[in-house]
Amino acid sequence: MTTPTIAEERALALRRPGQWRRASIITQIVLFILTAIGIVAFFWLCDLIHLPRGWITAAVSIAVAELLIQRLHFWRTGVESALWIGGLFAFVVSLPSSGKPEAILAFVAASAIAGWRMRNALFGTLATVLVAVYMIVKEWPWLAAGFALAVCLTALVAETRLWQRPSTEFLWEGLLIVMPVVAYVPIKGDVHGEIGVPRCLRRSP
Amino acid sequence: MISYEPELASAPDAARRIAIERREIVPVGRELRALAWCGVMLIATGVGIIIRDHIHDIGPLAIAMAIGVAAAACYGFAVWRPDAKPWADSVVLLGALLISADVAFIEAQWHLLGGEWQRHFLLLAVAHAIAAYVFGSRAVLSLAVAAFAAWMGIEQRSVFQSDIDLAIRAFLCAGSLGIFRAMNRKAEFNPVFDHFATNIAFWGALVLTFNDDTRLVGVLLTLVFAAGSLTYGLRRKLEPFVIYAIVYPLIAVDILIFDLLHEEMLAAFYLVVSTVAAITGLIVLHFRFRRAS
Repeated sequence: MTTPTIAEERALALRRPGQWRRASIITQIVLFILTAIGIVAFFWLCDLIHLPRGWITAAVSIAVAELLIQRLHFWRTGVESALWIGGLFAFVVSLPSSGKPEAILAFVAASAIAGWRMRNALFGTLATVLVAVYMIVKEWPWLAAGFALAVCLTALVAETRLWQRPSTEFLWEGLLIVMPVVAYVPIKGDVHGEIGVPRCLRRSP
Repeated sequence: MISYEPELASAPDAARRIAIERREIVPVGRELRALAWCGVMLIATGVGIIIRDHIHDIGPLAIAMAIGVAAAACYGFAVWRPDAKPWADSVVLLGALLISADVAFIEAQWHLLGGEWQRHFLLLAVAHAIAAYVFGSRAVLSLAVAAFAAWMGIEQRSVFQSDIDLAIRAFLCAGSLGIFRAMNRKAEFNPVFDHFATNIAFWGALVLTFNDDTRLVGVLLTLVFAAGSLTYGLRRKLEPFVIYAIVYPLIAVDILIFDLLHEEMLAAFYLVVSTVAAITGLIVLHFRFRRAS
């Protein structure tokens, strides 16, 4: 599987010329949004022509993403990241809905896989946040807060180590910033100060 | 943590950059600026909350005077310590925001401008523009332009009574900003005028595109503006203008085609094709940009 080596990733972070093509942050954001719109449109088209929309959208998106990465050496352009996470999310959305909180775990897996393949710290952080959200929805507020704090402390310890890949460093930084807020949510939970599930995440009886 | 020390050994300013990597030097200017900006926004929000919650306890006159004094103190500090970097700009911005809040509060309380209440936006635009030029603040200039655009958007005159008045207001506003830009003598302010004028002109064209009667004119105008924005962006090597030249026409043409296509399947297919075309165009232009720069 083609991925930038440590040296290439470091060169990309320093904006040095190399075989990989990356875009500026603004262009990445615009391309990510446009690609997401394209994936939604493709998903809609598959639905209209009665094709298995989830499978096909995921397969086409991931195939195009890999083509862009391996042939055109796209990395951090916004397109390949959107294709990976959008394709996997489209697949999860197309699965039969049971209404159970365990559905969140499917999104956790999708985010984690996309984050691992793209070495994208935001997707990795999203996966970790969704695990905590799952625990909150399951009405395990203490476990959610404990999990978030444990991840935060792990990230804090990890930040004392010297990392070679910028993406790994960004993941720890992202977790360190986001997880304390995530830990606060189940503790804040109830407006009366009791520990519990935030009202917006409560399941109806 | 991460260290780029091995890569920086051959850099022109290697000693300083390696010292930063080793944390022997810790530059905090950017962080301080970000914190100062966050602080300004929190204070401005806090002022709004205090006004809302304690208007009857404190009294409107006391509130108006207190905010006015605070705004004057901010500008006074900027005059007294003009080189107090990195927070001087944030203090000026806070002063401008407090003036905005004060003017809005006074207008809401005592209706000094009566039926012409919208003129307070023009008043703010002038006040902020003067402050922006005196203190050289782009953030305050943005407030001035936003206040001017707000005034143009709600001013009631016969020229604005047609169905497409919002679009006309947008074009007039963009044209006025173009004139201000031509008169401007501070080079660092030019991008503020350029971005505001371009976006407001595109919004005007999109308003026409959304209107059933003027859709075609709107699309044509969007394409004309896009050609101008693209040329300007490529000549000046300013990528945001190239992005505008792709994204706005995409929206306008999509609206037009969606209006013409009544078959849902064709619409979905078209959306896939148009989005892929826009992505491809943007990528090609982006990498052309990078090669050129």
